Amino acid sequence: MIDIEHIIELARLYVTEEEREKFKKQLPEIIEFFKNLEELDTENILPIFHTLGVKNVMREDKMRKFEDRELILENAPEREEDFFKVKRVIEEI
Amino acid sequence: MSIKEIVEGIKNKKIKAKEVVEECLKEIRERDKGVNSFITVFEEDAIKEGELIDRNLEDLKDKKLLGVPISIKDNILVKGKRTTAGSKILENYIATYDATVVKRLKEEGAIIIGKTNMDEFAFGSSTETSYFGPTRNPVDIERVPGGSSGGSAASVSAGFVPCSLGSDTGGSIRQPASFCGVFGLKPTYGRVSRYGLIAFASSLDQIGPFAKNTFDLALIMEVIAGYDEYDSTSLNEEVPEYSKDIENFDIKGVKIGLPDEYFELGVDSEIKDRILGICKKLEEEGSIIERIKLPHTKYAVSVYYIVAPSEASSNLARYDGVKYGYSNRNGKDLIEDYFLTRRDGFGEEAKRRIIIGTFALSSGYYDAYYLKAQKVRTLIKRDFEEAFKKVDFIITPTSPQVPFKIGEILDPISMYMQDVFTIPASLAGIPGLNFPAGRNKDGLPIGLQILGKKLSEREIFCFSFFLEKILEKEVMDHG
Repeated sequence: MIDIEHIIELARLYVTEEEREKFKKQLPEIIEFFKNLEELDTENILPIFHTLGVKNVMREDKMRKFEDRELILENAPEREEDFFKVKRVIEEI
Repeated sequence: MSIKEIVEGIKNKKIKAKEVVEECLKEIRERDKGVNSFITVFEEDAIKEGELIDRNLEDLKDKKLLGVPISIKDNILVKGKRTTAGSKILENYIATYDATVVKRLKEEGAIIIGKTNMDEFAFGSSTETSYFGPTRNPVDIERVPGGSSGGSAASVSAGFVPCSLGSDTGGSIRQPASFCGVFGLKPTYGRVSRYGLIAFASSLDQIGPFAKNTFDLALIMEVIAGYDEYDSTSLNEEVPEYSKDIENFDIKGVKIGLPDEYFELGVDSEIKDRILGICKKLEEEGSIIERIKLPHTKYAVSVYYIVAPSEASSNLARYDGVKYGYSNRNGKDLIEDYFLTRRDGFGEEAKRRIIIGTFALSSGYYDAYYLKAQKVRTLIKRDFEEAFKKVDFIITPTSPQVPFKIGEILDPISMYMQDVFTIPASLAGIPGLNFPAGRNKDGLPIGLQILGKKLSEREIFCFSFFLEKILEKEVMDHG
């Protein structure tokens, strides 16, 4: 059974009261809808991860310069010099 | 004007690139209010680009898309421009680089006119979940244009631009192309780079073109397709010149499969009759029509609505209000800021999918849902592999219905069922093209879907081009 309060905690997501009421009704219906997959025996079937079978693409771990560093920083909601600023995470001793 | 006419016209100095751009902008100014296909229009920059082409014409004559105006779905990055993905959380986000597809379009002389409306993060089949309001279908403004690339499809259908780029995860190019009566292609997974596409479901997402005819569609595709070192899932396979020799196609003996599952209950009878009627014509032209079975079709929607939200919930974890986008800083600590930012920044459908996906991936449920779905996905892919041993193409309706009215479908499961005929090809990673197959008795567009085996885009284009010609002939013969 889907425990919405637990899931939204995992997802770091508050929902509005109106959404909570809707989701409480809809989500069990959606999960129920998925139940038809249980009809199939998939014991010996391998799952797909890339549809064309491309896997483990490696590249050299080499730094490349990004042209427009400043553009990235300009998108920051709060910035101090060249840093993204957030609330203090570590307590003062 | 078609792309071909624009490029030839500019090259031969019959028209100026600037005039082509101005004409597009004028149409958008006058008529897009009622359609709402654009979120952002680049008026000044587009005119400047046009002028630049006119001034440097001699050096640019070989460019495949010289002066061609194009609209881009607002989940594809255009450097220095706002890119919203239809969400409040990215309302003021400015892209810091060009998506690979955008870079390639610019290199071939295309002019980006603006960014088109879409369901929030591409979560939807009607373009009604956009933070920027719904797009309306230019064919009938009471109706939806389909989704999630509804703005792109509508911008082409309304005649604002000759072509557009969208993205397709479970049908988001093909279904809106069907609803708006235009051509649209979802390429083979990995054929087009996803670098610079805002991720929804990374194992399914593909960028593809919209246009008003097959030739134009093929031309855009040959510009955007190909390997990209910045997308490790892109395929390192040569790209054919799709538009070249597109008329070289022999229908004699071509085998076309009609899957029983796509013509059963729930399909509008007028759509069914139209598709079967076209197949009869193809038979008269010399092709062989065969009934086939894709037995796992009925599981595809369940598989998709587990896999896609799972991947989406992971991809959307990055929207935390720290580095970019909307940020609510009224929490008691940093963690609570995340909760508040995401509460205010995401719309209802985005939250619904984050919750479904987080659930399907959560401890104790992973094997039962996500892993199970990825296994059934293998069975769906095998269905197609078996089918393509017997036939060259598969033809189906693109959508079981003609466009529905805005606000008509409110229940999530009913909306998810809209993608029933486009999802299987997405799960299998194979290419699919929407061919506009005429109108029903109310004048609403009907879409025919052509599916081919992986990397068969060239064959699909040739086939679609052939079909276009015989249907044009039909119109000329019978008025």
